[in-house]
Amino acid sequence: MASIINKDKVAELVKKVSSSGCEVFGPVENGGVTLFRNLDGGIPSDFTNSKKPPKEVLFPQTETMFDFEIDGSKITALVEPVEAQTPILMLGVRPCDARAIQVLDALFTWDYIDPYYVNKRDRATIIGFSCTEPHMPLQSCFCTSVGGSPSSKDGLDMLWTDIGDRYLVESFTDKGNKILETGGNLFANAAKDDEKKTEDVKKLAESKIVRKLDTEGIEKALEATFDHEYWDEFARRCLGCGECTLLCPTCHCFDINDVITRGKGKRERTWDSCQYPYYTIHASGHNPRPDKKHRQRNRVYHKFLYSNKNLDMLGCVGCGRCISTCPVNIDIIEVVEGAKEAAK
Amino acid sequence: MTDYKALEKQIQDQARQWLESGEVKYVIGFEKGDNSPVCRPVFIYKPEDAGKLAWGPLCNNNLTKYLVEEVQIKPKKGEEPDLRPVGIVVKPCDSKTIVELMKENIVPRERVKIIGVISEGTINPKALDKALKDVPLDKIAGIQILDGGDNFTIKYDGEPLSVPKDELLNGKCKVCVVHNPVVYDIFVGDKVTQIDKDEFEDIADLEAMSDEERYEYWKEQLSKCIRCYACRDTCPLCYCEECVFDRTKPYNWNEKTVDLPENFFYHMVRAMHLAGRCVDCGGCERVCPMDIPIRKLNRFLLKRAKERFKVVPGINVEDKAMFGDYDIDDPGEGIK
Ligand code: SF4
Ligand code: SF4
Ligand code: SF4
Ligand code: SF4
Repeated sequence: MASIINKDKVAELVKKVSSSGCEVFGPVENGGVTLFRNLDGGIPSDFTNSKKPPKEVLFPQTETMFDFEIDGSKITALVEPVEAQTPILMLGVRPCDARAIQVLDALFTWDYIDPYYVNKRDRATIIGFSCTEPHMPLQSCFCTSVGGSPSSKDGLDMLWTDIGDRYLVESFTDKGNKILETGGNLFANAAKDDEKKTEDVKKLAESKIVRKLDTEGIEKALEATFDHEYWDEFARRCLGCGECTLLCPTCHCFDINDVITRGKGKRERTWDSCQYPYYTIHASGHNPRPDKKHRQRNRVYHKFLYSNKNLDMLGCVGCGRCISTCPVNIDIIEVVEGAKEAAK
Repeated sequence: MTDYKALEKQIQDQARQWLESGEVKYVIGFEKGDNSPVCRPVFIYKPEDAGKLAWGPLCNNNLTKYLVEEVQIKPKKGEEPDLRPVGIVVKPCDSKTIVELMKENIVPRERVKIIGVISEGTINPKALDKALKDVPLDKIAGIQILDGGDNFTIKYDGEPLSVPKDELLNGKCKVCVVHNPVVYDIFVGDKVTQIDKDEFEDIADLEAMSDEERYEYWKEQLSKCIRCYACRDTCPLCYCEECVFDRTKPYNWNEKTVDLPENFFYHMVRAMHLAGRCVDCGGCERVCPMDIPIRKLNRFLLKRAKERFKVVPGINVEDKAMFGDYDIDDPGEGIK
C-alpha cells in the first residue's frame, strides 16, 4: 500500500531522520552545479540530475584507506578494521543512478569484497525520485533502452514520485519501511486518485525519452570489430579529458597513492579514468593502450561487453552524462550504433 | 549580422579546393552533430566530404589543439613523415592561439593553411539548453540558428524563438575585441569593425574584493574541481609532452588527492604556466564540467600582462614572448 508525503513535510522528515543519528545526503546546488551533499533541510523537487553521480557518497573521489608512520627505515601501517558506523540516507537518487549502484554492488563484491565500499553500502538506504522531466542537458537520457525507466525501482529502498504538492511514496524493502516508521505521521495513506496520478506521471515521463539505443547484437558487433579502423575514426577528436568516465555513475576505477608528509603518511585511493594515457602505462614505459582509439574502445567494451561477461549486467544505465558532458560531442549511442554498422 | 550559411559555403569550397589539389593533408573543421544541435570537430580527408563542413554560432571548439597534435606526432621508424600542411578552420580567438603557437616555435607557419572566419560571438551550449526548455526534446537536435542582430533566432518546426544574444553568448565573446582572424591564408566573411574597448569590467568585482573575500570565492569554486584536467586537455597552449601534473617521477608535484589544497595548487600552477600566453579563447571554461569560472584567472593574467609588461598575447608573431624577454625596466613588484 502506497503512502504520500506533502512536499512541505520533507524538511521535517530529513530533520527527524538526522536526529536519529543518520547522515542524510541529497542533491544540493553548489556554486552552480548540483551535487550530492549533506542535507539539513528539504530538497527541490525539480532538480536536474547531479553533475557528479551519487556514487560519490559510497565511493568518494578520494578516500583514505589507512594511515602509516615512518620512523627512519621502519614503516608501521595503522590499519583499522572498517567497521559499521552511522546509517546513511541518500534522498533524491535518480532511477538510473540507483541502477548504477547495483553495478557497483556487483563489482565491489565480485572477485574481492571491497570493505570500504561494502561498509558504506550496507549502511545506506536509497530513496529514489522518479524523473518527471528526463532531461539531462540537450536530451541525452536513454535509460529505457538499457533496462531502466524514469521510474525504475531497481536498487531502491523507496521510490517517490512528484504528483504536484506531494510525493507518492512506495517502499520496497525493510530499510524503506524503517523510514516510514521514523517519519510516522509525516506520511499518510495514498488515495486512489494519488495512485492514478502517479501512473500518469510515470507514463508521461517515459514518453519523453527521445534517445534510443538498440542493444540487440552489441556484444557480437564489439567482438568482431576489435581491430577495425572505425575506432580510429571517431576517437580522433577525443581530447582524452576523462569527463565521460569520471562522471559516469558505473565507472569505478581508482588509483592508489601514498601521501607522505613529515613522517606520517596515508594510503589513498582516487578515481582514475581509462581515458588517460597514464592509466595503463607500465613501469617499463610501455603503454598497451597508446592511442585515443584504444582508450575509447576500452570504455565502450567495458560498458557493453566486459561488464556483461563478468557481472552479467550492462555497464551503462543510460544516464546520458557522458553524452551531455563531452566537449567534442562523442555520443555513446552513436558510437555503439557505429560499431554495429562497422561489424556488418 | 552574420549569414552563417554563406560563410559555410565559402569554407566548404576552400577546403574542397585544397583537398583536390593536394595542397593540404586534411582539413580540421566543424560538423553538425547528428543528435545534438552543437557542432563538433571533424577531420576531412577527401574533397567529396568537404560538404560536411558546418559553420554557425555553435562551432565552439578551438581546433588548434589538433594542430598541436599533428606537429607533435613522431613518425614511425623508417617512415618518411608527410610534412604537408593541414588545413584548419578558425575563429578569430582560435587564430590568436596560432599566433602564440608560432611565437613559441611549436607550429611552423608552413605546416598550416588557415581558413580564418570572422565571428561576432558563439553560443554557450549550457545557456542554449536553458533557452530550449520549452522546445520538444525530439526537436532539439534539428534546430537552426540565425543571426538576428541583437537576438538569435532559433528555428524549428514550431514557433521560432528569439533570444537576446546576451543570454546565449559565451562569456568570452561578450568581452572579445578581436572579431577578425589575425592570421589566415583565406579570410572568410566581411571584415567586422572592432574597437579596443577591453577595460576588464568582467573581473572588476573580483578585483574589488579583499584577499579574504577573494579566497572565499575561489574556495567555493575550486572545491568543486574534480581535476579531470579537461581544461588542460582542451587548451592548445598546454602542449607539454609530459605535463607536470601527470608526472610521478622523481615524485608527484601535485598529489592525486582531490581536495581544496591540491586543487588550488593545480590551478595556480596552470595559471602561471599561461601568464602572458593565454589568449582567452575560453576553451577551458567551456569544457569544465563543474562550471568553474576559470576564465576569471586568465583575465587577471591578461590584465597584468598588459598593464605591467605591455604584452597582449596572440596578436603579432613578431612580439616577444613575455617570459622570453627581459627589460631592466620591468616592474619588480613580485620581488621584494
Ligand atoms: S556510459 Fe554514459 S550514459 Fe552510460 S551510465 Fe555511463 S555516463 Fe551514463
Ligand atoms: S568526455 Fe569526450 S573528449 Fe573527454 S575523454 Fe570522454 S569522449 Fe574524450
Ligand atoms: S575542467 Fe574543471 S573540473 Fe576539470 S580540472 Fe579543469 S577546473 Fe577542474
Ligand atoms: S587557458 Fe583557456 S582560454 Fe587560455 S588559451 Fe588555454 S583554453 Fe584558451
